[in-house]
Amino acid sequence: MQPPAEEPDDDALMLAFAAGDAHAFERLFRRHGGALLTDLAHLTGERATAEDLLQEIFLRVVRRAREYRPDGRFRAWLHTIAHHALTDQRRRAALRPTTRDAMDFHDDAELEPELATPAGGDDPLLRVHARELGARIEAALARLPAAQREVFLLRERAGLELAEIARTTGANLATVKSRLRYALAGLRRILCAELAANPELSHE
Amino acid sequence: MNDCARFEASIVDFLDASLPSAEQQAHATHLAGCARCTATLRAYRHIETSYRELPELELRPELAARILASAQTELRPARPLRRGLLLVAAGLALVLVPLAFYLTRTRAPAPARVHPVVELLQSGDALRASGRAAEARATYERALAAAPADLRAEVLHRLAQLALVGGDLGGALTLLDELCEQHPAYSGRETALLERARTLAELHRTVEARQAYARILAEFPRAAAEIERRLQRLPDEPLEELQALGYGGGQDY
Repeated sequence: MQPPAEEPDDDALMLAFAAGDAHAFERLFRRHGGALLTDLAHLTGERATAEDLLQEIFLRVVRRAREYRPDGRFRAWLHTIAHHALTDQRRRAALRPTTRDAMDFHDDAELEPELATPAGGDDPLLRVHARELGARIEAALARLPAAQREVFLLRERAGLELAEIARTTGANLATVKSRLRYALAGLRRILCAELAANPELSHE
Repeated sequence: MNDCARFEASIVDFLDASLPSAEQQAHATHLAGCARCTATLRAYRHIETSYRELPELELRPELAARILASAQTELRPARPLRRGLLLVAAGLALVLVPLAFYLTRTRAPAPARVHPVVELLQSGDALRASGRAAEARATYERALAAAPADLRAEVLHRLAQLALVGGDLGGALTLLDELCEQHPAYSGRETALLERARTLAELHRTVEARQAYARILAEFPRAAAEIERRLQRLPDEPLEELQALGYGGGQDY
């Protein structure tokens, strides 16, 4: 979410906060909390886990506020902290081997996208209303490997550039591009399969 | 690698239009004659735009309160309180150690007790950290009623921050006014002064906010850069506010 023109920008709020202004922190939280909570809920598939992570992430923001450099990249910085909190959470979850994220988060042996989609230009996805499709994508994300899901979210929701995603996740740029491509192909494949099973979702 | 495979391999760069123009053009030419790659590109774009349109989740008020309270506890770790506790403990020790020495000769020693106001503050902090703002406020208010002068500032600041988190700017200002006026030696003074100035600005009491920032600058010159930034963001003083404060028509003051 971008601040309105008369609002102080993220850098100004972070500087104020680092100088001890708790009110500035609250404004940052209210500005970015909802979007980040949404991302975390889509990443983890569980609202309660997302809320716990949100608290952990903003506590890390408090602890690391003095490290922040006001370079206009607060959102990327916040998502880097989120990435580390998420990684820590997944490491803890790795103790519970039934959690799929724990198994697939660091798995780069991603499958080549299978283009089991229509050969012609008549793709059924294009006939699904954006709102309906958005909700189905949210559900389908849970079936992607976590690393692909994260790259997709950082690009589509957080609006980070691919190079920023690489810095945020500690992956190289080529890997980020591959993950995004596999995520798009995987989502398309999952959604097409759902549409084939539920043809009434397509609006002519 | 055929043209379809080449396009598929660079589709993310193509979506970003980040390819060299010759390569971008070669793919565009390929797309013009390839229904399958065109369908893939359109499907990906539809996936991206549909997903971007999903609304954000609402932050539940209890969650926001919990996070803000725990952040404030983190921001102002119990340092002042700890210092207060140490003073209280040192005072108690002066009394209790000889007393215990005496009592061990006659009966079992009495357990050392933390000052009841400090106990109330700790209970309030725990309630605040768990998002129970109303109960935290009630506990702090009990602490305020019983607080000796050296602990009153601690309680006032906690109440003020609770009021700020709850959006009660007027209530917060009253508390911060007392804190800043009556407790010049308070260890969290710089934070309190900044919060007060910020609250005045939020209440559109611009002239007073300017005065408050000037006062911080006088006391804490290290905050100069931050205050300068904040002052630049304040709107021009409204005439009626100047007049209400006794400054005729925006003259120098």
